[in-house]
Amino acid sequence: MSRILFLFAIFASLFGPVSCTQQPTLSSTEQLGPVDETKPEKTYEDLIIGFAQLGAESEWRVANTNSIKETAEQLGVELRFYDAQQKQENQIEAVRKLIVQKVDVIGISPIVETGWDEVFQEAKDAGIPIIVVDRRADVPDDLYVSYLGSDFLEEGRNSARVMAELVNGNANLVELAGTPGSAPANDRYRGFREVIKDYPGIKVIDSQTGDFTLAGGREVMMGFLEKYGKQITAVFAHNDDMALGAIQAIEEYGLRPGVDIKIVSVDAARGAFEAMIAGKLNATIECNPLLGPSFFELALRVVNGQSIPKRVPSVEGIFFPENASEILLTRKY
Amino acid sequence: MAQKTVTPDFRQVLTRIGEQASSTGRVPLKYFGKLADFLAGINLSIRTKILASLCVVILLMGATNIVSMLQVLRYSRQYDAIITNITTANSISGRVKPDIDNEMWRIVSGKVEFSSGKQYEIIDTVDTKVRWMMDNTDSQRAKVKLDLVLRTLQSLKADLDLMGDKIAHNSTAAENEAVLEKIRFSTSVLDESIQNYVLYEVNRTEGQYQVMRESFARWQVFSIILIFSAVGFAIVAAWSLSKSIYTPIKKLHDVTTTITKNDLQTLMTSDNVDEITELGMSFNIMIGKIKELLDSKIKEQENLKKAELRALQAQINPHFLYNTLDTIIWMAESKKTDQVVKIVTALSKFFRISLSKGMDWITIGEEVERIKSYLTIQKMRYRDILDFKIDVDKDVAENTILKLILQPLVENALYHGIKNKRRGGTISVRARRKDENEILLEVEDDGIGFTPEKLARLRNELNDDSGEIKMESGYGIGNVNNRIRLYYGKQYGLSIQSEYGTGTRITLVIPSKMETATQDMNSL
Repeated sequence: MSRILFLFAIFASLFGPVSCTQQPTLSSTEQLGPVDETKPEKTYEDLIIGFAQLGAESEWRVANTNSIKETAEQLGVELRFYDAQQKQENQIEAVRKLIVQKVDVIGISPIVETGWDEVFQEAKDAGIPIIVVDRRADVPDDLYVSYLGSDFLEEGRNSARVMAELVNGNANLVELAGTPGSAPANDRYRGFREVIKDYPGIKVIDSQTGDFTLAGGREVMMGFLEKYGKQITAVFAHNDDMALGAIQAIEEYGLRPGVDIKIVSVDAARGAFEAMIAGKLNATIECNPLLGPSFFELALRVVNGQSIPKRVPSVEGIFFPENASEILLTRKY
Repeated sequence: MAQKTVTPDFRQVLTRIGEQASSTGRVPLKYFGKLADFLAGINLSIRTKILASLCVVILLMGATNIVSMLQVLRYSRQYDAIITNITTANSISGRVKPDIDNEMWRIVSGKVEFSSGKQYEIIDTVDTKVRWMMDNTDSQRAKVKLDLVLRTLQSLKADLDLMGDKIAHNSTAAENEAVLEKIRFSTSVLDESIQNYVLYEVNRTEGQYQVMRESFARWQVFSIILIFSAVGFAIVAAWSLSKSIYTPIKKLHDVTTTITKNDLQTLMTSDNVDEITELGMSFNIMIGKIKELLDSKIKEQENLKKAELRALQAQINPHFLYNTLDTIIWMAESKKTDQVVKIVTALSKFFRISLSKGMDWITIGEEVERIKSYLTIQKMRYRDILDFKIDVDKDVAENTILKLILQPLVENALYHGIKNKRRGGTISVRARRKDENEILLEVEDDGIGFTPEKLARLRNELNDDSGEIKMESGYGIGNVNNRIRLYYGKQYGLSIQSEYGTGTRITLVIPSKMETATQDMNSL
């Protein structure tokens, strides 16, 4: 319990005064910018927003998609939603379609960080602002108006801190990484190592991608177990789905997940809580998928010509098995 | 003026109707009955009630039809708009892509000049149709979605302009191909955006349909309630109308029955304004007329009686006259001239007052004067046994009194009291004011008095209201008593105190009147 409070204190110092709600709001320090006086103030009902989603690889992603669609429905925003089904060319085509339709704002969760310059430039030429959501794109700052999402680096660092405490600074650890080249995979990888290097007793013996899916996580973990067997004492998974896959693989191998092999993952979706209640997962670091409200708030501000911050973080916590069952009841995803 | 009183029998009639009605049904009918009572009690004419009830029923029935018709119209209008838009949108979406793509292909492949191509025509047609659809829809969301179609059209137009530009600047075939590809992309997006709109409208139609079904279901319930209430109201109205016709007639009937029982006091009350109540009011007038007629009839009867009495009185006087004349003869034979003069004077005075120009009413003074004459005559006849005292207050002497009231009492005192005593006695006649409105007259003697049995019989006779004159006590007390009652009213009369061997006092109270020469016809 004291660990949670301690970590919350760290977060509070990072993100300013926030409560642990699912709704990150723009803090009061970001005053409304100068409004363009020639146009009347637009409301949610006037907006046409495009969103290019990367796919539905995980529970987290599905929750994220639902949040965007449901919020649009609630606010009365006209949403043009495209699902790229895990392919970058589909996502690029979706952005082009949105450009042809001259939507007011384009939102995008890039499947990977690179390869966006051309299509972002097309949007900019067409005068359509882009808000990058959840995953970053490796493009010049002037090609998008804002990035809304989690601090993946910090998630990686927190995972390392929690892991170090779980294994008392000694472990042979394997890593289940996310989609190669994606912002969360890159940052969680880096953030984790940034902290773990201070613990010489913890050795990262292997790292492979499970592509953020349950099946991928299971497959990679089976490979690890075949390769290293009982050497492995800890697993760090870049998301819950891969951790759940790993749990299956460990059980099939005949070991007890959460006991013989400590597991920490990122996302804190429902599945993770259920696994923690069953004692098979040791901790999950929250990555909040409910970005719909914040996204549309940003979009409306952009359309009305108000200034918005370049980087909007979402609110996140860390959860342990001790109070998993209570929190599960309040979980929306 | 209208008294809002319901007579008890009226209530009974109502409850009886209620009982008869609710003997077939249970509780709800009781409420209907109460409602009907309430409606029957409303102060309106029967005609108005009938008209109003019919209007309410027609309104209730009509309302159901009108409202359902309006609803059907409303929904069909909404449907119409949506369906028109869907068909319009479908006609666009199926044709615009192939049309534009083919046209542009013909231009790129050199079959047609760019300037003579139909591409802008097609786009303008679509634009017009979309704007028309925007005007035709009532949903903000649909407008936004159509706006999206318009935006896409603008992009497409920009692509076409680009193509025109390229061709005007002698672009290469490869460049043209690239732009054509762009155009094909745009047309497919246009198709997509139109389909997006159509899908929304189709879903909305489903939503509308659900709403319509719900509202029709609600309306069904509502209309059933309305129809039932109309039927219920019609029943209650019919009931209350029949009641409001029946009850006054019943009342009228009750009044007529009381008339047949010969009591004209019960009259119709006007607790309503309907026609039958008016009839009842005219009936009241009729009863009044009948009452007047009856009253005058009764008066005639009474007058007849009075005439009979007068005749009787006239019969009284001969006896006394014979006796007096006998006395005068006897006195004349005895050469008692003075006494003859005295007695004849008294007799003449007595008769003059008795006749009193045929008036029934004389002053107390005159009446007392007559008694004085009478007693003077009698004292001469019963010299050794009779004495009398007369004591009349000055202020009552001028009040009128019915003629021949005191004299029979004095006669009575003389013949039944003094004469039977054998030792002689005194008769006292007193008149004084009892109070402001009444005068007290007393005739007292110290004669033999009545035995208790005879007194009781006499009192009975005096209290008897039958108006028949019994000859029990001769022409005296009973006769006087009847006359007093007849002329002054039933509350007046004689009262007798008597003790055997001591004497008798007869007391009489009359209202003080100062009329002169009142005719007895107007005395009541």
